[in-house]
Amino acid sequence: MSVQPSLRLRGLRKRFGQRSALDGVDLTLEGPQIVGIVGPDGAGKTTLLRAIAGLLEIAADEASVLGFDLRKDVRALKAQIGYVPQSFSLHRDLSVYENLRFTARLHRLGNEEFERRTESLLARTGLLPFADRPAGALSGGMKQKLSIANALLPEPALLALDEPTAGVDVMARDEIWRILEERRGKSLVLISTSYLDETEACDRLLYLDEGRVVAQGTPAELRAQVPVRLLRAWGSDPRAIAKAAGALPYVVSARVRGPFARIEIAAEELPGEARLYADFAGLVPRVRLLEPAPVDMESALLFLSRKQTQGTSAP
Amino acid sequence: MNPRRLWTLLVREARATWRNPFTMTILVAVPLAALLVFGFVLSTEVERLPLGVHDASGTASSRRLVAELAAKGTFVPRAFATREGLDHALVAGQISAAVVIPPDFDRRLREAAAGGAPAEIQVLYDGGETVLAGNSEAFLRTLALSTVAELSSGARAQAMGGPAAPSHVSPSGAAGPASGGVRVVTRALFNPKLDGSRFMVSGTFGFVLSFLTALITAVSIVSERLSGTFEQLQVTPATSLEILLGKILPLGAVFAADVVLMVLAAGFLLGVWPEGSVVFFVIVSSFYVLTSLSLGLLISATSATAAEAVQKTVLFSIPLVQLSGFAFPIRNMPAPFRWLAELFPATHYIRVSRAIYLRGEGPLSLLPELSLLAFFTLILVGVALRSIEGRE
Repeated sequence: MSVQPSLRLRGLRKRFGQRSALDGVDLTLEGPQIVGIVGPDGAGKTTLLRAIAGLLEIAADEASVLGFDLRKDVRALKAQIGYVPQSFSLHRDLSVYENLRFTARLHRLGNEEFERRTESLLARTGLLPFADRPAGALSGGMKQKLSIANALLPEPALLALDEPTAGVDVMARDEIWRILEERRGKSLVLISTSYLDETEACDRLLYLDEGRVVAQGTPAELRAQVPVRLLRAWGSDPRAIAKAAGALPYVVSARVRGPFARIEIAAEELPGEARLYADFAGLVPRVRLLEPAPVDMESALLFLSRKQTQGTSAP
Repeated sequence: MNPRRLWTLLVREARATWRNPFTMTILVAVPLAALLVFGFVLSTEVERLPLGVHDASGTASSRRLVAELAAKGTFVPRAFATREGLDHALVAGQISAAVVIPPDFDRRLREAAAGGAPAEIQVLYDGGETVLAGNSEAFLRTLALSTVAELSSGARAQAMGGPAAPSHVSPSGAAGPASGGVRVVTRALFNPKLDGSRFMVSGTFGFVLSFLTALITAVSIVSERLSGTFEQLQVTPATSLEILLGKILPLGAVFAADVVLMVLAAGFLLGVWPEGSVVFFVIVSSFYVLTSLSLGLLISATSATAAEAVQKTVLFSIPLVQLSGFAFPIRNMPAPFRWLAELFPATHYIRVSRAIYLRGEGPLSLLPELSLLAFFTLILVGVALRSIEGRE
């Protein structure tokens, strides 16, 4: 049965003892897409994913996932959900193939269907040659790919992945993202990540802080909200350039990015072009080239983070 | 050694201990509780033991004897009009020991005073309670002999027209020589030789199946929770009951096989076989394994680490050993502790185990204990189910 993936959360709250992990999450998502969940450590990303997967007892004004109410019995929802937790959580003593068969049987998948899907998943994840290897003996990247293959086996309408690419090598990350790309038009994929390039690949981003969604939109929409101008300053010593530029009164941040210094300037404090170029021309060491750059996700997320910090520290 | 570094380490350890309520409880409460329970509650001395009395004589002498037995506080006599009633109470475990005074007691006492055959009283006790039985037998024998000796010397004095002469009495054997004109015939029901290994073997099933089963289950489930596999199961369509049964039935099968092995080992190596049906014993024990497995699940639900699960199971084993009747007789404990002991499923299982091993009892006579055991099992399985069902 094909389910139109949808999610409607209003005032979703979750407390662990005295600590509030989710403090009124409002979120509406419709249709298949990849949604990135970002935010600082302890923002509530894992808790939100676990709540959506039906693993937590929550309070909410409305909490509908794939049409199932999270406040009630969620057993039927679990047949439609794939969940990949942060750490590897499959059976280490079972082989790759046996782990998948175990999941297939719990989902009451027919043998023929299981063989067909397994072959395809193992081929796409590159795990086919390791089908008989115990899961505990796989490398970190392979384990993550197996976890994702396992979550995808029942072809869920909603896939929740908690930092699936953390700690895996570049090749494995690429493979994982290729698999997720295939689900883009079929499932609602929720993925928490701290990699900036991965946020760019998402259709939509949620910025979570202190248990609330404080910003959301497409990556372009989030970038457009950022009132900063980005410049690249090239020179022989980008580290010294960044240090010198950081002393300018209108520079918000200046950091080295490979061969250039990445300079952020608050839009409202942006000086006239003549003064800007004069100031940078006067820096020691000398700036050979100063060029404007498009605002990236790093700027967008840093802006959101700073805005939150200032908001919470304000009297 | 650097004192400041040592101080830093000491402070860190003290803080870590202080901040862990469970460790603090173990460190402070357990030694105190163990001391008090061992010292105050768990006495192997005979005190206020329910004693059945069938006084078929009903004379002043026999009533004096009963009154003397009650006077010391060692026994609480309970009168039985018939011998059948007395036997039934002894089999049912309502009384631990019994005294039967024959109808001709008074006449035989007088005859003995005049040089005839001694009077005879019979002492019966439950050999299943080995420790208690041994102690109570000695007490009863001494008390009965000394009282009857006084009575006979009174009778002798009456016969000779002089005052009663003091009489020295020493305990006699099971059907020992007469002393002071009376002979005490003792008979242990169910375990006539007061065989300690029979008593301990039947109790050990209770200890092993309670402690080890709960320990293995708790540690295994906590490890699964920590590795995340348990959470993975919870995001599948598997129901809580399926997950619960999937966990406990394989473990239960292993422990049921353990029961069979233990029965065979006790039989062939120690020569201790159940007096009752082996099949019935294995069925009851397998059922009890479910109770302990559920307890293990509950321990796992409240433990953050495998080490904590082990600590909690060990903590649970202390009252298990002390209060369940495994090592110390429950009948000897103060009333509040006797009531507390009734709340342990192990208490009832050990009773059933001993009833089958020592008295050869079957399902009908054990129905009340089995019903209680079933009741506890249902509650524990229900709560364990909720602990799996319950979302964090």
